[in-house]
Amino acid sequence: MNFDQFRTPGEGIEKLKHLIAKTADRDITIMEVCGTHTMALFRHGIRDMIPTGIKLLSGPGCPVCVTENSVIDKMIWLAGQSDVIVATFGDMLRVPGSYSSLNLQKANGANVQVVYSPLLALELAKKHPDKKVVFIAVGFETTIPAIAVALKSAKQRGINNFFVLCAHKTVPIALEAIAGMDNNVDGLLLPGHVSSIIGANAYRFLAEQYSLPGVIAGFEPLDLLKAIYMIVDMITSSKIAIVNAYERVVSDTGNIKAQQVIAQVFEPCDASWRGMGTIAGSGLKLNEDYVAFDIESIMRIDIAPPIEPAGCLCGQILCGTKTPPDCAHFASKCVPENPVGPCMVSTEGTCAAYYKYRNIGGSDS
Amino acid sequence: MCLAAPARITKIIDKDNAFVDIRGVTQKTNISLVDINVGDWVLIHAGIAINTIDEELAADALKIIDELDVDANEL
Amino acid sequence: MKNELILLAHGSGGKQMRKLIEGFAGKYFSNPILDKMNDFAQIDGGSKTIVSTDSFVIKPYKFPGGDIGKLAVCGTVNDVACSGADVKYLTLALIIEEGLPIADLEDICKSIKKASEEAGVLVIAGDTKVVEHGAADGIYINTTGIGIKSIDADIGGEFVQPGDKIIINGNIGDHAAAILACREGLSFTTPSVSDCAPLNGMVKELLAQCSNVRCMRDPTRGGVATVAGEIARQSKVGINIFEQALPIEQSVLGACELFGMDPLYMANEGKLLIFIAAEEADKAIEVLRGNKYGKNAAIIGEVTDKKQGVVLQTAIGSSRILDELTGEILPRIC
Repeated sequence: MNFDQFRTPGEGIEKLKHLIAKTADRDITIMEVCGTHTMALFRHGIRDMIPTGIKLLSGPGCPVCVTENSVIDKMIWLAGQSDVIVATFGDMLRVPGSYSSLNLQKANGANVQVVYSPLLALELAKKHPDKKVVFIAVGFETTIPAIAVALKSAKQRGINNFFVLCAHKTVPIALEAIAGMDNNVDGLLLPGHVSSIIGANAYRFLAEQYSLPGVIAGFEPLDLLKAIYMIVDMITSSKIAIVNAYERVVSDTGNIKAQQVIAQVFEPCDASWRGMGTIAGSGLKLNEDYVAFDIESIMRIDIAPPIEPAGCLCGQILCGTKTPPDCAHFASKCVPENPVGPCMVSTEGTCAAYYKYRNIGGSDS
Repeated sequence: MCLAAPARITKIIDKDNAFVDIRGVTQKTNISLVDINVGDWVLIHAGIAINTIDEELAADALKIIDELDVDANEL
Repeated sequence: MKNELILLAHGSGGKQMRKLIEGFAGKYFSNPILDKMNDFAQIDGGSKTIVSTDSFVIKPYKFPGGDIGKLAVCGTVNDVACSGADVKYLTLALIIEEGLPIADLEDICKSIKKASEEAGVLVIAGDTKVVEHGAADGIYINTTGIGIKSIDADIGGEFVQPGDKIIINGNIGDHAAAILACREGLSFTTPSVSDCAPLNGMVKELLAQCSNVRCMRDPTRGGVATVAGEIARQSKVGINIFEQALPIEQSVLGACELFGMDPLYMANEGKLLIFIAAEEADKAIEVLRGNKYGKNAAIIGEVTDKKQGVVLQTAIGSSRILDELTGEILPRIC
């Protein structure tokens, strides 16, 4: 099977473009929850291909963007400890905390290693038994199983200098918060890879209790256009449902093995989201069996109270109540090489995506 | 939120690990969360296969788009 | 810049590096030759001597497809060749970290010999310094190239005109993909090898047949997107790049998919972006394809009078702006 057929130029794309334009008889606001969708939409120029009346807002699906300054300050504090190696996904390197960033700490000599997988961070711990290797555990349901697998392996192999700074968040409860906000969101483009873990059924309540339609989408041009068409069609015909348009990867019930491994290592907790405040039950922490791997269980992380950058609209942008051009800092004081807020840091951050893939002659971006 | 790349299982190393091929690039990947055989397609995220990719359902999805009824004159 | 530190991003070939260089070079070293901001300088209008200098720091210093020695010759030779000059001489300065195996140094010198012989250049002056263990990363090399320009054509980033075509002499991203695979913390293998090569022979063949080459530049750090942006700024033009026309190996796309990267920003060491009058573009492709370093040459873009920077015309018929690189290219999963 050649999955590149989902990006083949030609008739399929033209048909879907046509159907979207024909069906969209009113202004429609769609929130793409997932930051990788934001990137894919920009990268393929999808905004260019749909009527200007369809607004795409980027939601709280970028781990860099929703991680609060207090967590970022903690990881920066950890990087300053002489017996610690901080292992992190590349994205977290440039995120500004209240006072610094990992990148700046690294320039000052801190031991910060970029890894592609938590399993490689575990190998790093094995290689440096005299150091505490702390993996910055951010991310949603897609990423959490990998960290759970690494922790299970650490326990099994007795690697006791491997730790995590845990800031995981889960998607459905945050979407419930969004659904309850006053933000004019008519429908949701639901995250394909999170859904592959948790399954389509996890979102049914959005349609049933909040009358909010949603389509689970893949990331190729045909996936994206098809999903947009399906949302527009549901909204204009007043059929409210959660539809799975990424069938090749997502089932109703998700990946049970992955869900089990998450449950073996983590338990739900309240989590604080940048711009959205604390949402009960929307995070995960290490459970009793694994709490010894939590760096905060063995070190008292001593940070000054976090400071949020003045005038930064990242919080509202994540909830869909504002867009990047509404922010006075956007593209002036806040640019990718010198970000004010986190949404400009990650390449999938809403502001960075708006900045990088500004449409040509686009209506609102 | 989560980049993931389609990859094909080329060699199973042990119950937890396999080599996968992504357009000619080879990577060792953790397969403990999927039931797979050599030749199957999986989705790789952060060094781990998070799910399988169903080729039949992919073909069906393409077929549905192919069969969408749009008047050729309107395109 | 008070209290600011140099970050790796300042050396990644993108926006921060440009601002740093514009800041310091403009502030302290401004002169009519330097201010042209090309990768080479033409000195003394009479004899048309061309000079270019470059320093090479690469980890690891041996990689699939070459080593730092080959790179140090090719990088500077290519910069001089981009002026349209015959490359004649190189200077060679080595900064070596104590503890470097002598055998490795010998291998690097052999590579320098081989590459300079292929390029037809003489190493005419050199210097060696050794620094304490930990003060460098194995070995760093600086080379300065000197060439004589005997043709009259104006070639440089400031001479590009609307209507010109943009050609690349082959696949993009190979060098960056090969280096990426050597990096710790990624754990993958790729068939990609660095494209590192001396291109002065190919350029000579091109200039012998085509008299309307406006500009040539090697898309090293920052890749095709960033270098195209530099030239758009220098010539005050717009640039369209056609995604479907870009020659890219599948394995480079594979690495990009795995780590969330974009081939248009990945470094090349044996490629040139060639800006040429439209009527000569087909001829140029024919000439380039006749050279071993130009087998996959393709027209990948065109110059416009729209001052909107660099725009990618995507394969599926939409368009988006290609900004210059910001920050380092880091593998990301989120």
